[in-house]
Amino acid sequence: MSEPIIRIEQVSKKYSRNAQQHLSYGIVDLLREVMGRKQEGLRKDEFYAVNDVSLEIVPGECLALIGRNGSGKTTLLKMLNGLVKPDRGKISIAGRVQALINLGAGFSPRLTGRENIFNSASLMGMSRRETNEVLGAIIAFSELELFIDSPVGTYSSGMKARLGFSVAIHLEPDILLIDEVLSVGDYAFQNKCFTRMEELKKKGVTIVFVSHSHASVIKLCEKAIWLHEGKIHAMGPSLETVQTYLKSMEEEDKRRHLGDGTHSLPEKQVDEPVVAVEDEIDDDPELQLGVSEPKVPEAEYVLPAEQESFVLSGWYKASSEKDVTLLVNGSPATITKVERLDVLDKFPDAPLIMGFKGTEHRETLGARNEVVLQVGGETMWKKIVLVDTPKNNQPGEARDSIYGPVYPASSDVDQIECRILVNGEETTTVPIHSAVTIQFSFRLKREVQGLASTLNFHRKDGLKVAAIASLTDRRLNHIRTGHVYCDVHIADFDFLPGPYVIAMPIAEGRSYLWRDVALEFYVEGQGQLYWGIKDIQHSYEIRVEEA
Amino acid sequence: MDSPSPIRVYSAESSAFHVGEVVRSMVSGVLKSRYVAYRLVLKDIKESYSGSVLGFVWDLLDPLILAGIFYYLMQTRLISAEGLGMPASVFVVYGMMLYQTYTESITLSMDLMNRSKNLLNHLNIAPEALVISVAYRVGFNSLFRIGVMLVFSIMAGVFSPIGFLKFIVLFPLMIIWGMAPGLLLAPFNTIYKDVGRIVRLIIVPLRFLAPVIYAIPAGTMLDKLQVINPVTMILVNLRSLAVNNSFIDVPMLLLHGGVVLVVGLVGWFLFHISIPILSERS
Repeated sequence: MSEPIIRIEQVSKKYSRNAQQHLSYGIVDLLREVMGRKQEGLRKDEFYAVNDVSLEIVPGECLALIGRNGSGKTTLLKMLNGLVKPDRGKISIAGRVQALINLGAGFSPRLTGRENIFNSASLMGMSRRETNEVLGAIIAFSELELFIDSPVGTYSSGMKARLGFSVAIHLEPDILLIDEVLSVGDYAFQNKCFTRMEELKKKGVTIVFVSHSHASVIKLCEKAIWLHEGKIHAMGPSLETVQTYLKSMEEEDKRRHLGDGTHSLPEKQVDEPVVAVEDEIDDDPELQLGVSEPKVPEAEYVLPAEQESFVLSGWYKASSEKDVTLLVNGSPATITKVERLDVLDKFPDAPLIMGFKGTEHRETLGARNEVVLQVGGETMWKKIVLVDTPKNNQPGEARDSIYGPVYPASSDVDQIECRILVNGEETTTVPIHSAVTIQFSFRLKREVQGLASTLNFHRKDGLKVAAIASLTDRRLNHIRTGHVYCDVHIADFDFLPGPYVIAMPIAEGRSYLWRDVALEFYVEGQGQLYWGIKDIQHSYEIRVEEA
Repeated sequence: MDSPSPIRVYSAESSAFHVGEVVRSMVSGVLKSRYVAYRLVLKDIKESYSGSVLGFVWDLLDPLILAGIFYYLMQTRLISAEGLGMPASVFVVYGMMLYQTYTESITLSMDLMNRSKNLLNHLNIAPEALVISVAYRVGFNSLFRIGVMLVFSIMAGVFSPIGFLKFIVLFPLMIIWGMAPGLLLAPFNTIYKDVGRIVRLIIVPLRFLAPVIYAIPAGTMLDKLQVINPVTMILVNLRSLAVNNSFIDVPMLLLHGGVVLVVGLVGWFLFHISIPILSERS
């Protein structure tokens, strides 16, 4: 086995939970550095962002670092790049390092793409001659030939990232450190980046790759490390490590959605806003977005409609304090407050957490609104905010929800129940590919004609996955009155792991008697990787013919 | 990848007592970072002057206006123009231009880590690239100031080609004079911005505790204070050299220079070792 190109020996890094304290400790640490004294142990409000990590990486190896936000991945990467000094331990690196921690760091919006290439390349250690030699290749790779002499301020964030990646990738380092930067740009460019990285791998470049894209981790890296609360939680082949990690995340996700018990159902979400955008950081992990993770899938929020105006508040990870713009449907909202949040303990990788608050009046919002946060002119994240139609507090009145219309109270039907059974046992946790029975029942309080009911399966974010409707063969049509009991058998429940709801209408012909969320449940996986919305059972045959 | 790269070690161990290693790293930083520093300054200059027609003229206006006011006060004898050793206009213009170079050197060095925090958070660049970039930037701005001083010397009929040549050669000392305390304070200013505010506050009256725009009367309290004012010796000597082709009190200049050298080296050393500790907190 060859000598390691990176050797990490019992490395730890600590941060303070208190932002002000974190600064004060900086001076103490500097004075201790000058006096040659080490600060052992944790001081008040401190915690370990990276704790006693040891590992060796051999030349040509591609290692992925996976884990939740705040698990220490970026801190470790920054220590490998010499940006952050370890508090304990030692890192030895035998090669030229190139870090892609923030593509376009140091780009000036006023300068042209070409000028920024020279600046960026010089910051990465290239001379003018070296830059001139690869200038054409950088421009060609970035596919920005037509815009290369335009100011970078006119570029989209994807274009900037393309330029940043192109410069960085042409340095041909011995070690490449990549922190979640390949999720930018269009898919064609992402694919090009991965192809380039595969080429570098073949040339023997060592890669340390931080990503939340597990597919990318498995495709690119042979080995992965799962960091949890700063420690190595698991290490091994990337597929197995990712599966172990996902299984654990799924358990956590399940606990969060269903609680520890399996009998009590969560509250019906359509009666409450799914997430008030007013939520603070602790209540809204979905808002963990920012400079270091700009590409986060859109998330939907539902706002209650009773208010005259809404407070849109959130936060973002930042490297510095910059201008914040909140665009609602393309128009700027009034920003009432931007402040530095004292939550660095939650996100030790972030140099700064900025919070913001803006207001928007009800009449300016439609049913579906696009809210975009721009920091320093760059789009940080995009949210879809849905606004409920106003409630008039009359029982039985309809309103909209992300699962369709809601008729929560009815004088025509009562005693509505719905439950899910696996192996004859009632549960709210369904293993993927298990045989499932959905039992629902209701009592008709008057005689009806053309009775119908549907089980609408929605992902919790609102996406309709499937529906089982009695209308297809009018199987409930003959029922006029009485207490109705239905058992629906599904031989292979193939929804992907995650939380779901069943929205169920009971209708007379086309007129709803009742419609609401009847059940919430969670599908758990088998520790495998899944893509899409369903896991299709299949067999695989391979045949190769001589060319 | 053909030649084996030297092993780089990042450890928790204090580097302050490995003076040799740090000094080697500082020297190598200077040698390797000149091009980066040039690019940083180029970017800085283009950014500063984009969207401005008059550009650098604005930088010159402030000291020129103040110089104009003092020149007027001297002409109207509200302030004594005696003992200047040169025409009043030349005295105040040189004083203001040199003093502006000094204050700019201090403030740019002191704010270096704060201004570069975005870079330092994402790129491993040698601290020396930042240090040199300050020297380049002040040097660039000084070109216009030197031009103004040259014009005033010629207009006042006190232009000494040899003296002015010597002045240009020694002019970088003025930048070093300012950068030395600036670098020493930079780490502290990164954590506590109050440091910068205090220094900016001190810089204003310091101008009047040195013969920048008027001659300090001999035997007064101000006369005693100006001796310990760090800017006095370099300022009066550079001005005298440019106009009269002569130095004033060389031993005292060398003494001040020695102090500046020590402060500058300690400041640079401290700045170098503090970057990985403080950049994440700036």
